[in-house]
Amino acid sequence: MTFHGPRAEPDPHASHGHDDQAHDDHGHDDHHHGGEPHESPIVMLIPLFVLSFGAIFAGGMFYDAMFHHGEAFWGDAIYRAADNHVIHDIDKMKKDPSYAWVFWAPLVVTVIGFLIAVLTYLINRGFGARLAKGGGPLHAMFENKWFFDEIYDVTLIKGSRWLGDTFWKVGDKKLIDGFGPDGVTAAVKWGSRRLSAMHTGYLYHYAFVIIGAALIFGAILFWRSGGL
Amino acid sequence: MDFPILSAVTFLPLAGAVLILLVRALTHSQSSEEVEDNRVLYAGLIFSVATFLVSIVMLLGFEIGGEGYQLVEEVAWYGDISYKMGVDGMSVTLILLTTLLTPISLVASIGSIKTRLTEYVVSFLVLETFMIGVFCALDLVVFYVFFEAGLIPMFIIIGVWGGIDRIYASFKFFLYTLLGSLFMLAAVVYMYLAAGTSDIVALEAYRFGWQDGSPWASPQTWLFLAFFASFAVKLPMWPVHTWLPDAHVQAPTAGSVILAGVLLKMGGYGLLRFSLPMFPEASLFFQPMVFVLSVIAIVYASLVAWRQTDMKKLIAYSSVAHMGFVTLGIFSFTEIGVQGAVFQMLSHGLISGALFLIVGVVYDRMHTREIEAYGGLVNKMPIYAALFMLFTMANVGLPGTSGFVGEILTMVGAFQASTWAAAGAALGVIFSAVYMLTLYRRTVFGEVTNPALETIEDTNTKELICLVPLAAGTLLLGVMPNLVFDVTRESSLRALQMLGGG
Repeated sequence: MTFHGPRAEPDPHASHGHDDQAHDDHGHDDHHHGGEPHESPIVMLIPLFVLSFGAIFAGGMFYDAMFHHGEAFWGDAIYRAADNHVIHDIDKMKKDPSYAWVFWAPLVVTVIGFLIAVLTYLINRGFGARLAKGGGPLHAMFENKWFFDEIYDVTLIKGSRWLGDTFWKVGDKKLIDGFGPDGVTAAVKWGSRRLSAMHTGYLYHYAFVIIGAALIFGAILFWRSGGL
Repeated sequence: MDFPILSAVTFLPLAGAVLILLVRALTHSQSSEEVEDNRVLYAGLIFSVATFLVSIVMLLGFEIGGEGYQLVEEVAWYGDISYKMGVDGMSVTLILLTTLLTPISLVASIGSIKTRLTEYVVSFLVLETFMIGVFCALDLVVFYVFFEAGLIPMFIIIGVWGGIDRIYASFKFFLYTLLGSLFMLAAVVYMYLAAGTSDIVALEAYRFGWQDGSPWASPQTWLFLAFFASFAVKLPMWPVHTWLPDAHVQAPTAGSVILAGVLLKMGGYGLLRFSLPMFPEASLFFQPMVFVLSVIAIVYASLVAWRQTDMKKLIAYSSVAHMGFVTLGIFSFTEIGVQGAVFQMLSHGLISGALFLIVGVVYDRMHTREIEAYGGLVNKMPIYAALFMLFTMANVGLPGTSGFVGEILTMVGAFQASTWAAAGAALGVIFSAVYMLTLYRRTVFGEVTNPALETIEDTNTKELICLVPLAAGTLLLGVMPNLVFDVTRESSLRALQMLGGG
């Protein structure tokens, strides 16, 4: 609920947490500290009246045009396939008593909601606070918005974070760079070091390699020329 | 012979670079280590602005909707290879992007770069010549020369004026791109020998071998893969993208602007100029592979972007994701997808360039790119915060900005080809909102917690000169995308016709 009015300056001495009654009555999106809830000023009421008029009567006013003269009313605004008869079917369902609950359910739920609101906020103030104090799983579920935020946090948010970190630190750094540019660079470095280690500067090492290579090369030539 | 406007726009920056070097050789004997004044930057700016003006003249001479290549210039060079230049709608838009971003980059460098200014300006002007050359070349060999040569000035820009790890980043950038390009060089040689020409127009008409039953025995397959290796690295596509974040983080602000704004676009341009028209059957054959790589790039890079603590790295990964939309659009083989891809390249050039400038603004003041070092900037820098928000929203793809047009069209194109690919790309749009809004919230909103930020100043005139044209372009193209589509339609359709005719 929103209460339009002069904005109260936050009182540093107000004990928000202990003002249970006010807290409960105001709801979480209101930050008046202390004071009774009051009616909205006329500047808010006028648009609310207009909107509520539309909310109550729009269905009745447009029902005939939308359902019985649907094609003329909607025109091409909403695409309907040739074999889509949903509006016609709704009209048929309305005449079928076994579907009556579908049509009455929204009204019944709205009235129940209205009555609970009257009970809680007008007749029996503090009922909500007492209900909250009582706790229980049902209260916990509603208090935590069906735990949707928590479920999203555990699955989607934490999951995406983990995926992002894994892609970055394992995928990019360890796998792609590790086996790619960094790995190749390391392999070349290692190979170069091994090769340079062979360049000892001792004549007999070079002589050994030359004679060994000449022997192997000669053997290959001998073998290819049909020897043995 | 008509005035060779394409050669003029291509080589004017190079002429400027030569002139600047000559003037310095004649007037200065100082060591290049010494700090120079900004006059050389202004000289470079004059040449780059002149190039921009010449490119506008080029645009005026270009017949919108005209068929084939226009403003063609040809001079015999060696054997069957000739210096041949020409443009179509796609290349005209990318040339304009290049000539717009280069002066902006030089303006952004005023005051930020203090050492070896002559070499710095010369590198940018030479790079501009090579970039424009890539988009003008109508000969395969000329294209290859420009394409490869562009590596050198960017290698120098990152390696000399970059951050602490600039050597590692510049070598990684160079080796990655060079490796990809070597495959392309082998393919260029094969194509020249097989077709007997390196003329791009003639090569578009030439049909390289393709056997329906055995694609792996077809020359087209290997030619496609060789070109793809080069373009995929350049774009970059997953998994050959890891050079980009390092290069961006280490590059000076102006280097990042050119890198993200123009150099990446060469990959997309190459796919449209070569892969689709010259290897049509192979392109169709590899469509699923490109789709898979594109969707992985979009989702993977977006998630990694979210986890970055460095602002530049975050935007670099965002570029990888956004280039995924480009490949997705191109390989949708639909008009709307290809048009969207070209538009996305242009749009991303403006937006990513602007975002790197945005990071540069605070980096120049605070000398850190760590997101944690900021927060509450809106209290101290309201104009900066407003511009940052515009480019954030554009990067997310908010309707009214150019980012939206590119993304929606590539996705519509992809949807026609593969519902799954489009669904994957849509995930990327959500993730882009997550990482960009997180970045914005953590740097701009909230209270100023870092005492060093207490004295930070809002954007100055120099920074506004850089950012306002990009903001205007982002909004203009978001509201009037037909300004681009009218120019690029014919070239997009031609690429698709050649694909269908194959």
